[in-house]
Amino acid sequence: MQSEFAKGLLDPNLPTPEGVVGPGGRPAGKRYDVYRNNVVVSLTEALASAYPVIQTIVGKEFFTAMAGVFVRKHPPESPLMIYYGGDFPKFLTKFQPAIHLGYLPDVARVELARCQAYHATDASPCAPEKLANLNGNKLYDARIVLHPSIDIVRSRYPVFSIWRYNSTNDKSPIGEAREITMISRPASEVVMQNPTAGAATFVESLMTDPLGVATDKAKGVQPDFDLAGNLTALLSAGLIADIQQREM
Amino acid sequence: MNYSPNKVPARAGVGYKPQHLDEILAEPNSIGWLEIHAENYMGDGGPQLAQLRYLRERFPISCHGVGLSIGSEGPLDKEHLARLKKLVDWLNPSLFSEHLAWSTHDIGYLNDLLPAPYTPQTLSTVIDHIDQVQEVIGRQMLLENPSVYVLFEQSTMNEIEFLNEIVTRTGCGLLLDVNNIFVSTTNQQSSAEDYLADFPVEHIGEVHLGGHDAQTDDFGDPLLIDSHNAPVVDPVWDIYETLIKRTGPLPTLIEWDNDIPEWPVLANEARLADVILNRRTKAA
Repeated sequence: MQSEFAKGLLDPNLPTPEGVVGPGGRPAGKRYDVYRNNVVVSLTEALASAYPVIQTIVGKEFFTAMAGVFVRKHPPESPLMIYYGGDFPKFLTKFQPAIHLGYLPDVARVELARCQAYHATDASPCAPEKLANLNGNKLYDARIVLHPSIDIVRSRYPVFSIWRYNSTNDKSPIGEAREITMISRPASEVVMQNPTAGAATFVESLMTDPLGVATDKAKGVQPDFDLAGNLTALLSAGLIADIQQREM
Repeated sequence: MNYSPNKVPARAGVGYKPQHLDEILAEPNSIGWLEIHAENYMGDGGPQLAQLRYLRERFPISCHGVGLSIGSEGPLDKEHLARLKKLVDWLNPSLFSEHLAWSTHDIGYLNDLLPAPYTPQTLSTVIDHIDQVQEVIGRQMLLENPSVYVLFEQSTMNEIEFLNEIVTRTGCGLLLDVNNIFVSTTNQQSSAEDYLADFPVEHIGEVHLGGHDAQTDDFGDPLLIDSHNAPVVDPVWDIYETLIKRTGPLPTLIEWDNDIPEWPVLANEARLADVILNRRTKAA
């Protein structure tokens, strides 16, 4: 019974499931359609709340039509609607009516990272003394534990500027150059930054490598990479949860 | 953690919305308690959980699940049940409730409260699921009566008979949604008064009140939709007053989940419920 009922909710071409009726046994008609509508509208709203900038860019009408296609193809896998829409950036790479907006999937990746950062595990910033106590030989092998919310989205489009233009009062002109976006939530607000190539490589590398390796990699992409400046910036932004010295 | 909650009192509460936080804290006595939707607090961290940590020390909290799919033909989602247990263990809510409905199937989670036919087979599945939930969560749950838009030819018992069996065999309590009575009985062209007269009111642990949307079906007959986006209508207040006259005061929630109004509008709905509750308290 539920299989037929469920499939019909996502496919408007299927008939009303057998045995589903209105009062007095008459055809259910619009009554079953209430469920169809509830499902698609509620999932579309969930998607819109995760991807407000995509909606701003394409307009509400287009977004709703596009969401109608998405939600039928990718219904949620779990009841945690706070995480719904993880497949949306990938879906956008193949959605023909919007394919001319090449930057759209990357904007969606930024919005997905914002959602994930918002609900990520909390962590208190580490004491500044831990950084001050690092010296010489210890430095290279130290492990910088970053805040769990940090994510980096690289794009060949100016996605950071596109996001900023469409969601804040900052209407700085959008250039042509590729941009990197760093997303984090050190306290209660999601913070958006536009790091240099070296800073982004440094942060990405710190997720798996010790400090020395991360520094080498950052200098590899940006010879003037400023280690002290970047560490201090991460620390004062509350994005370093801990600094661990290698056991001797 | 030694956190002990306050009991939800027999007065009006509201469904908590983060946009109302400042106003709720500014006049905390305007409501008796708060209800949260469990699934919104199942992230790993973040401001929503931080707010709840703060609120639970100031207000009695009721935890209302919307995603467990107790009416599913298939087994309950064990991962989801484990998430629910983790939340309930931490929050230690004074009330915990879920729906007589299903929302998960092989194709995914459908994010709506879907109806099931009232048959011995559904009954036995629902009873097994409630037993499992109460065992895992380690406390009594309240089961909410649904809003329904269709009927099933397969049904062999009515909703009251179905709920009575469940209560008897699982020991769960009931959450009576008065708006759902009005929506379902209007849609089924049956009598809300009869439904209420037959309802096992002694098992009610909580009441819900909310707004609905009025449309018409293919035959021009009323088709009400449980939309939680409007004030409670007069006929629903009337059924509520009849209920409270019979039972005495019960914890009563104003549910307003869509087109969420400014705080004063919601607070006023809660005040109206308190008026009815107080009238009964004084009469008693």
